Amino acid sequence: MVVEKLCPEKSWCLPEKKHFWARAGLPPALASADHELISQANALYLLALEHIQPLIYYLTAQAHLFPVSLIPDSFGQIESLTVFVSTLGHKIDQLMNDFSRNNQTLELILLDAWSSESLEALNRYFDHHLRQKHGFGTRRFSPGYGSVDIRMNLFIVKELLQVPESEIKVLESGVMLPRKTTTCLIGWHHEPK
Amino acid sequence: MNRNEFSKLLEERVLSLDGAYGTEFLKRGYQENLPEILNLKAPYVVRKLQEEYAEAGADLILTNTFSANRIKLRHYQLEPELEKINRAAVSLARAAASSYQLVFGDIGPTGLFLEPLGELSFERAYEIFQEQARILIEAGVDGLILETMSDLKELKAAILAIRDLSPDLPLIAQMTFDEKGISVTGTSVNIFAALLNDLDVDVLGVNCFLTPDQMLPVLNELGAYSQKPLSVEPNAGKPNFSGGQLNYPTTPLEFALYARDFVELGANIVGGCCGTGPEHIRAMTKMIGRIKPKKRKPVSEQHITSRTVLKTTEPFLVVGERINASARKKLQPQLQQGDFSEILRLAHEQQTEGAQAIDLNPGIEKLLNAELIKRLVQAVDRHSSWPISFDFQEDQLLEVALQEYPGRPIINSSTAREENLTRRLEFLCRYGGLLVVLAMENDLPQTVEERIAAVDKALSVIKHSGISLERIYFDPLVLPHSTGNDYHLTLETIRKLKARGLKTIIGLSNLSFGLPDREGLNAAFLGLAVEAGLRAAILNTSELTTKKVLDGVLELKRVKREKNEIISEDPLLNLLLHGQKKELLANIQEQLKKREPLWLSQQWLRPAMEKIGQLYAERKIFLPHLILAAETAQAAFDYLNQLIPDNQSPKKARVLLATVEGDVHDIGKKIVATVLKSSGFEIIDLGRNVPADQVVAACQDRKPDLVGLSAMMTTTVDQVLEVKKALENAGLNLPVVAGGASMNRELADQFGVYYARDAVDALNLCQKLISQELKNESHRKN
Repeated sequence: MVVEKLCPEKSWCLPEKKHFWARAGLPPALASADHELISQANALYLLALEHIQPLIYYLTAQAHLFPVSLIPDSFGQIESLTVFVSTLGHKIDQLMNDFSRNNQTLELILLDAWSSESLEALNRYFDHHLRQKHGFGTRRFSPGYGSVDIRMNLFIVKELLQVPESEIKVLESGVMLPRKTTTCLIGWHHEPK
Repeated sequence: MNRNEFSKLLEERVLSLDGAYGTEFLKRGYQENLPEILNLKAPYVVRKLQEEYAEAGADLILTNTFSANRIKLRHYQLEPELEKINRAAVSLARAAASSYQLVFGDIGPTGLFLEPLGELSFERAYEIFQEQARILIEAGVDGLILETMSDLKELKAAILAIRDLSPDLPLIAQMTFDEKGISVTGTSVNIFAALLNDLDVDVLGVNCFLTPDQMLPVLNELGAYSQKPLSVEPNAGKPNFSGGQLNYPTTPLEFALYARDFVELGANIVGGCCGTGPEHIRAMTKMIGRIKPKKRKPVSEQHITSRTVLKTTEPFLVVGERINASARKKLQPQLQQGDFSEILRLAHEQQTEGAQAIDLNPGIEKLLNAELIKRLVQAVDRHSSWPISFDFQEDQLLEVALQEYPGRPIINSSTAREENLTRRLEFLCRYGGLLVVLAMENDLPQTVEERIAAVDKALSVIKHSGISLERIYFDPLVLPHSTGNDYHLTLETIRKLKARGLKTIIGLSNLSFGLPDREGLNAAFLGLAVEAGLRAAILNTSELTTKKVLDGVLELKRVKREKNEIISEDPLLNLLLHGQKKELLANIQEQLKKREPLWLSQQWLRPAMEKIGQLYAERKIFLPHLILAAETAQAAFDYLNQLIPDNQSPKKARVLLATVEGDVHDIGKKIVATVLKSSGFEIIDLGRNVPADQVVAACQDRKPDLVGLSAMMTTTVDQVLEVKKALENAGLNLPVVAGGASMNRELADQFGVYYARDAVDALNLCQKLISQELKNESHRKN
């Protein structure tokens, strides 16, 4: 099984503004009411973009080569599986820590929302790229949901993808550092289901 | 593409417009003073840029013709090329655009102010715009866009000129505002929207001058008032100067983020102005994608406006009745002689008494002519009068007044007779505004039923015209009580019309005509009429009882009438702000009995002008007020100066003004000159398009204390630095003050000059610099 490393362009990580606003709990009506907040959010969007260092490790192999406990029940019969971990890097974590330390709560909320949506944008982009290559697939799945334990993250990152700890560290609990990191699984089959 | 198709497209999705031309050509090394000449000299450069815009996903590609009108081309000796430049521009844009992209002909302002702020007549402006539009239309554009207009009257001239040529071509009309949403000429975004909602355009919008973040509240305000689709084109930030060129700091991504916000605010078309390029448009189209425009809920109430004042008609509209040359016999001869002083005084008086609009009845119209009416409307505009109700009988004179008026007026009135009403509705369609329709055809109806029948007849004509009934007031007719008329007929007509959802207005004072104690009678009837459902009245605003009863009845209905804000209670300030030269000079002559002319000039008049400057800086008055006050003060200063002995005369500081080379705009410079002159500066005006060496030569010859430079265009703003360097090289260490749309404080710092944001800022700065100079001089002498 060959692990590949990808340093995506930042343009893959641009979140939709409405998703970013929604995740931050800001109602759309506010967009027309508070121009200063819009400007602040836009400035933060750009600042956050400067701070991300997106990275993906991934591999695709025959399904039977993976432990059964890694494959979600919902995937059913699949021929092959892609496993990947994506992260926005440490710098954006650091920025969040700085906001937190300085009691910049609004900035922290906005940045957290932005980062989550940015990582989702990255995953969506990579997902699309994989589907073009592999054809029919299951929906994208992350450990911690359904039948796959979140602690499988340790196995995925350390054992399977062999990501250096300086880039991604997984705690016993399955929580990953940097905070804006996700592991994802997509199953592939020959026919549409 | 016709307007229906364009309208459907606007409903389907948000459209993107391309980016800048002038600044982009500069970036690419083409330093033409007039970028439009590239259409002939280097067409491949224009086409390449347009191909890049097309490739970046712009739905609308503009022709490179912003300044290609006869007036601007003349300044560059390119007048003979007018047709070629415009035709070539359409061919180039068409060649660059794909079949699904639209080519819009771009038309910018003439660069001159229209009367009364400047010297260009409405008719001439109309011809200039029509000439350029005709060429663009014949060359095959899909639509036209009017951009960067700062004068509502000029915009109106352009719209009428285009619509008279082509009723079925999509038309976008945009104005430029500052961050407070006010144009250079004092028109606010909501006034712009109020008039443009009526005029025959498809989209209204804002462009230039503002950075994307500054554009947000301005677009939001426009969206609150506009009933039509919106367009927006901000600049890519405020430019700075580095590496020998102008740089705009807003990155494509930042621009795109704001573009997405504009969509959220309801924009239907988003594009870029100065400093934006294909990368900005690419990022923007990617960020916006194919998205349906947001639905907006603009305010539904009706407004009337002058150029600078907007008044709501809700909950009750009061129109001042006292400018009535039929009733005031001395007004008629004054009017015939072109003396508008009494009219202006009455307008001002009624404003302070609480009128929201001023009725203007010129009396016997056969004794007047179009030129007089034109001058009258200009005088009213120049004195920043409040919205006007044009009480004219003759269609020809009414049309002259409506054409000349830069606002949304009331047309008072039409009978229900089809021929009369149809003509007045045509005026309403063409020039905008509200209309009063009398509940009668030819003869005075004697019963309620006859009045309602007349209204019914009018309604069928109005329905046919497509004009909303929200824009119509019906007059149920008030007849003199003294001749035995039954006032119940009027009240009953009001009730019946209200029940049908129609708005009513009355001429209140007709009731008490010929009777003593008119005020009591008027007040009592007005109270009854409001209770019956009346929505507006033309009345005598000096009648305190009438106003109190009105406010009382409204209070009982738990609504309040909008109160007029009084700008200043200082009598001197009011004389200046209302251009009352005669009264000011009479006042001075009276004061000269006790005071020295020097004291009056320096301790009385000058501080008053400083207060005027402060009011302008606080946006309590606008450019027309400022110019009028400055010109009025100038006459008083001139009078006093001739009385001051030579040895007592304060030394006049001398300021040399010029618009930099390559730039033909001098509106701003002229305003600065007027304001400086009114504050005692001597002005040497070198004009427009002045090369640096000419400025140096004039400084060596005329020995000014200060140099003032105007730079309106982003393509020529670096000339400010050239002048500064040339002065230094010639050993002239003069303070240089620069201003204009393209300048900003950061640029001024980089150029080593002072920055003046507007005329008042320039005045304050010049005064400060001169007192510094005087101090230095006295140090040197000591």
